[in-house]
Amino acid sequence: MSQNSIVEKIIKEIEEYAPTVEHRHVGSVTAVGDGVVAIDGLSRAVMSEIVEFEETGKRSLARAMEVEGSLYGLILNLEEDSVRAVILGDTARVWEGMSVKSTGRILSVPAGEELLGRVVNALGEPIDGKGAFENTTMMPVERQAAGVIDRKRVSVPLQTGIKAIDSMIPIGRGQRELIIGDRGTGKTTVAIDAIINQKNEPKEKRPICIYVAIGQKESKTARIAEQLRNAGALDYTIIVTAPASAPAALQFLAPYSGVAIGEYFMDQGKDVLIIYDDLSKQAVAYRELSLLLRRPPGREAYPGDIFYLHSRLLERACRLTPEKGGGSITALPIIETQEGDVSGYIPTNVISITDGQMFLITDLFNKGIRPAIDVGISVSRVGSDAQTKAMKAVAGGLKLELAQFRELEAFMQFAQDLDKATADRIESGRRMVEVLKQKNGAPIPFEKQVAILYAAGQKYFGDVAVAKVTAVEAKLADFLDAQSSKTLAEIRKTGQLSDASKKELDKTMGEFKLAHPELFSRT
Amino acid sequence: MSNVDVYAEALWQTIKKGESPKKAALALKMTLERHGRSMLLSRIPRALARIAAREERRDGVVLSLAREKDAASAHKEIAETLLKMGAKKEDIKTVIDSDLIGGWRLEGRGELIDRSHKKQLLSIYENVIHS
Repeated sequence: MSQNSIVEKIIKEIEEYAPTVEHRHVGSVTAVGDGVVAIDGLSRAVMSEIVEFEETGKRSLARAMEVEGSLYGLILNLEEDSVRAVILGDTARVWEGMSVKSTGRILSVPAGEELLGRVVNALGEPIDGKGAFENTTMMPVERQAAGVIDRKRVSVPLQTGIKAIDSMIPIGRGQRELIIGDRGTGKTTVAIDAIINQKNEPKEKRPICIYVAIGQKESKTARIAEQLRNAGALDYTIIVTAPASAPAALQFLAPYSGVAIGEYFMDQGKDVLIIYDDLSKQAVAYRELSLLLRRPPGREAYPGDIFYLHSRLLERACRLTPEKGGGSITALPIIETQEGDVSGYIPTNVISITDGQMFLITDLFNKGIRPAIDVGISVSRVGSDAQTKAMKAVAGGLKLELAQFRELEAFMQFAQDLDKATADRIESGRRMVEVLKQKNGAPIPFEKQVAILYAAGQKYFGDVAVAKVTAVEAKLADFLDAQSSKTLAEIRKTGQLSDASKKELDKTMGEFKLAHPELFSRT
Repeated sequence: MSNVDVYAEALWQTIKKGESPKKAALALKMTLERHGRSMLLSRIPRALARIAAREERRDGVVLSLAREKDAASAHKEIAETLLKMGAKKEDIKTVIDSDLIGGWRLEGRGELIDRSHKKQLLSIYENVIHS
């Protein structure tokens, strides 16, 4: 910007300036520490109100101009003589005796199309260096979830692109499906793949994706942003981050900010997919805040309302009726367990709130089975209603078959001789496990999944060596793409696997077998 | 609230109700001795000072002026506000704060009214750099 234009801007601003008198309710800071302040006064303050710390009051104009933006706090405790608030920023900027002004505003975050492809903090401020937002709508961070009358049954599928999930633990739009497992079992990968897969959806049906990183390393969030950008998925994704270095207050707020942004799109009739990575860290941040706010600790020192912390968040995920626009929010919260213990306080709370859960197991991960989902104990309580007929047709007995295989596999370690039927079942199970394996960052479109699972169901991989199944499956997928694109398009369009489609698939698979006879040998 | 703060608050309330400070302090000392809490006595003056400061903040009204000569016009402008605040002219403590550049700033009884030039210049500055 040239000097002249700056001068012009200043002159314009002075000419248009209408002097106003600032009249606010104020209090003063009596104690500050660990991100929490005690404020005397503010007798008219309301819960969750934003207060502004007055840093400029006792400074000269020149020093006041050096202050970097306003510093805000969030009121979380209303006490007899004072209020307690958490500082939404740098604690070092607050001192005892400082004036605190009420704003009369409940915490809200900016939301709008402008946020797509951007990385924001828990207050909705851009942190990716791409400039400020200009045209956004403020959405309240705390909002009552939609009521019973406004909700519609979950019936539209949300494809994750992961065979094991879409076939056996299907997710519907508006559902809350928990991803739970120990550290390093691929929970985030599953969630990110689900975001990337939305690229396969037609633009008008494609959900807006929101990834909320809570207490994560900033390097991890940067890597995820990069991965999404490379996959072309960042254009329809918003990243909300409260890293491990952020104050506990921001880590506690981040999921609410994320869902508030999601609600903006849902209110416009759009579908939203939101990932909370992860809620165990949010619970820890909330425990820290509650202890600092001197709320009575309960089990594992969590406050009494820890269940409500998650239930009020996850209840905001729903599918609205057509009268309300028909939008939806699908939530995939992540919970990290310790040593596979799913009976912990926070895991059991979130399991009971959500509509199902997928367990990721370290043993499976170490065996190379990825995604390491234990389908035996994973469940989707409402998703089957949303599963397409085509997927139902090919995945009907899959879960049972795998469960039987796992049982037989365990038994096999002790038995010496197996009858032919049992041996066949084990062989078939091994191949099915291989079919369900999937690389990370490579979600598979729904119609291809149907075709592959159809092939597996027809024992098409029966003549393939177990170790080669994954490679053969990948080649078959490419072959189907080239030879049966019409059939695949029809499956996608109708959501059904007609007899004609089956015939066509059988034909193409026969051709593939003829073209690659070397792949079909058990050795 | 800690025990010290509770005792200090009780002492403050007793004095506020009209008891002589000396008598109230002696009564408190005896109570503490009776309860075996004499150790707390040394910490009570500081807690009492905190309460006094808090009460002053709550009840006091401070008028900050950029220049002494602005006093007359400022008093005229704040007359109505003072009525609303339930404060009298003699309750006001006037201070000169040249950092205000011009105008005045009234703070007290949970209210802040800022009509200083500093505030207005800051507002222009914010608008310029954020637009």
